[in-house]
Amino acid sequence: MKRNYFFSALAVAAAAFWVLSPAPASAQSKTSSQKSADTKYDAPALHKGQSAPAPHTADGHVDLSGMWIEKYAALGADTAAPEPQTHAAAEAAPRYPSDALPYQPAAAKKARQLFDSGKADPLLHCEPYGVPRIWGGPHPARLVQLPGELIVLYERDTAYRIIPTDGRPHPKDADPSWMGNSVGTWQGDTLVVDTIDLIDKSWLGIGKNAGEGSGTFHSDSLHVTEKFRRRDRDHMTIEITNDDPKVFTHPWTYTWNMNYVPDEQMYEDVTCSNEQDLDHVVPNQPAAK
Amino acid sequence: MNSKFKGAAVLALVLFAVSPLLAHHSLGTEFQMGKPQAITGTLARVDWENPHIYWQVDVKEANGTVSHWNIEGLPPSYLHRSKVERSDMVALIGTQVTVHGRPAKDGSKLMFGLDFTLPDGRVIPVGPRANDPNAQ
Repeated sequence: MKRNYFFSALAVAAAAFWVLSPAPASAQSKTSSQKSADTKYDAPALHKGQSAPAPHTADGHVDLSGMWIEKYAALGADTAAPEPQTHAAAEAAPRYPSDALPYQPAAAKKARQLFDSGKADPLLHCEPYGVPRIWGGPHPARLVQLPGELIVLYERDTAYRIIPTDGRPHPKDADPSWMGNSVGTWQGDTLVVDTIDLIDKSWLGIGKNAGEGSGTFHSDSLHVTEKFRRRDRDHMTIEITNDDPKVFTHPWTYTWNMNYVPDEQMYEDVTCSNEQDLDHVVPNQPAAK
Repeated sequence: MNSKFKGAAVLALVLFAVSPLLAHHSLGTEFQMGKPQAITGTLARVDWENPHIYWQVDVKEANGTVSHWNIEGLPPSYLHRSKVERSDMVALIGTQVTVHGRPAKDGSKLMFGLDFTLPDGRVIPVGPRANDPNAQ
């Protein structure tokens, strides 16, 4: 019964969106000007297809240095309606984002409950993104590759990492932290970064949506592997594997496709200087069982 | 599940699953993202801050009183990269605007802003574009 209520609420919301999105008369009359506005406000274009070979550093490694972004956020006016989705795609869509991850049964239940509460996201409580959630989305990251270390400067959360690549092991008793302890090693043209000692307060993010409000918690046993591969000048993949035997049945992997944006700049991005959202969050009804 | 809801519920799942990464948290917990809303009033204030830009729009009610609406937006960096600048918005203070967006779930005078429509017909987009292939 409660589940029916949940689905019905979603159904009403969806029906309203699909039926009413193009509907407001005041907006529809402005379609032509709106199209010009959309073009004027287009985000910068990203390079498609193969580009020049990736550069190398003096010590012979592929040079990962540069400004990278996974995507730009495209702005648009309200009357643009979403394209119809296929029925198959709809049925494949998970109800809870965390359901797409290989959580053990008890952990899957907890992730659903966190999602339903609406207020559990660490970001709503002024806490950092952490590794690996820090990656992806419309915030660039600046990589600075030096002999023996990789520096990553993130616009998102105004955060940074300094990753040794000189062959040193993890320290034996590093404090748990949001970014964890990372060490990198080169395997051919791929830099493999191994991260442990991650605090169990952060959420993982999930695939393309970076876990916005998705309840994707983990334990203090999380082990993250990031494989950086710059396949040409303009494109780099970051393959991320999350292994947490306390909450997952097996390790799982996803990939960010990063684009080289040398002309891009960084803006300050702080999570909670003017946070006003928490008071307006309305939890899903009912909470997951 | 009631069968008459089934198709719409499926659509809801799709909408939910492909919702773009909009901000630093899930907007669906705070706003009725499936319910278009428009308000018209005078732009009174621009708070160009992280993690969300806020605009105040003063709306004259039928009984003559003025309601102060808060319009929540994306982070400043998103707008900078699409050439919507703080100075553009500040220049509109005192102008009558129509804001299209999505209402707050808690019923407060708060909406998530998607665009500002000006008296001369110009439209300034401030929210995520529907169908953005990069957002899926």
